[in-house]
Amino acid sequence: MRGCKCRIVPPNLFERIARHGSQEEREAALDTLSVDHSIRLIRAQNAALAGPMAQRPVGTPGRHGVVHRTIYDAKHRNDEHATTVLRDEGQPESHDRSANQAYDGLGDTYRFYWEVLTRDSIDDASMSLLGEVHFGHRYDNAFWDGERMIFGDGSGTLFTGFTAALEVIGHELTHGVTEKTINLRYSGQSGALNESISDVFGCLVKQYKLGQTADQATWLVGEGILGPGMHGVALRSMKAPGTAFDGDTQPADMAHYVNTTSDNGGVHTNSGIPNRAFYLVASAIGGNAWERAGRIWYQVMTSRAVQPDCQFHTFATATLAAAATLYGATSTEAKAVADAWGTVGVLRASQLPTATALTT
Amino acid sequence: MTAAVPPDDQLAIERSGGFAGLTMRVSVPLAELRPGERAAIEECFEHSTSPPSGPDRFVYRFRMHGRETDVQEDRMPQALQPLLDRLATSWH
Repeated sequence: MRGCKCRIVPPNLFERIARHGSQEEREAALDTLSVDHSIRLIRAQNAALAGPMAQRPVGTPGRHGVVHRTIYDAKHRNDEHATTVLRDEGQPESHDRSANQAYDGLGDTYRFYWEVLTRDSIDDASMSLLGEVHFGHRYDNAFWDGERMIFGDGSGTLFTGFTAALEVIGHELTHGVTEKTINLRYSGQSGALNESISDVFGCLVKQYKLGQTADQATWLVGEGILGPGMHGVALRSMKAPGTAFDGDTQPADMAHYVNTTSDNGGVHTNSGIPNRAFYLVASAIGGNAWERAGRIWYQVMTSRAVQPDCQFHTFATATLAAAATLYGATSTEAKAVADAWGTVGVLRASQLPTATALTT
Repeated sequence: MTAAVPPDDQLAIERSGGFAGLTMRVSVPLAELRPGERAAIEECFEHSTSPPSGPDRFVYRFRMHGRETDVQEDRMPQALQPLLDRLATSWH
């Protein structure tokens, strides 16, 4: 039951086993049917979208590639529609430090998406980037509300503000990109994937800005924003989930998956699993993580290879298909992806389809 | 991940989610609630839990007198905002 089973064995045979086989045979057949369905879907979607994606002009002068930012002041109110502008595009530095950090961070994030992925803002159609700072009263959070990236100043005990860490700004903007592409449902595993994608690209924005290779990067999310009530180095570690601070409960593999009803089903907890898978891929490939590992993840998003309720297993299969499409069935990249999802326990070795099966 | 049952004279609040994903808790003596806040909390118990409102928003869980309900941050009654502001540095 390994290798190219998806191509050789007719699906109806798997269905028969699924209905009438032993418990073990049934589980294996159901796994295979699930992978096979994903592969057929991905093949069709990759074929449909490979053309236009490849032909997208890079750096076309004019409308594309020009960022437009506006930073608003919430004045410590819970107002997501604040109208006081602290800094608009092209204006000199504001007197407000948070506004300048948000302005610069959104610029760095825009530049990453445009220069690395040829994506023109959140919607790939020059959408203005709207930030809002000083939200709420000692508000310990930052979020994307569908229109704006909103940043609190922090309580001063848990957090000292959210604009100081570039990966936080990249994280929030990426929630917008996810919403405009695969729109992962914010609950359970699909929600954890939504969170993980934001951590992945948040970290890549920072690595690109600093010129760090995969082995030079810290792979930490939320560095430099912890207050005196938090003991640790950051909020999350993609490299070693569960080690960022005292009380970090992120699992590093499926054996430690956390079942909880808090946080919409642990979306910020179980994101540790796909986070680590991405780190392992980037680390195995080596060099700049945004060039190939990031490209593979982005291909899954933009080819819309997965549905909004996508689970870890389907997403993993989609990244494997994307790696095979972009770099070849027997490439180092495809192997790195397969190995990573195997290490974190999302795909068992017996479930891994061959890369050839994914591209033919 | 479930907190102990709060005493009868307490409102237990759990705040999960947010960018940080920290699950924090606080207990508030019912006697310390301001006029209107108790009624607003009672109203939360009357409504069923709403679906997730958006990425990185907080989710609040109220527990009182054996009842429990989740309130997404953007569905929080305005009358409870001052209570949450008072608790800004009390979460543990």
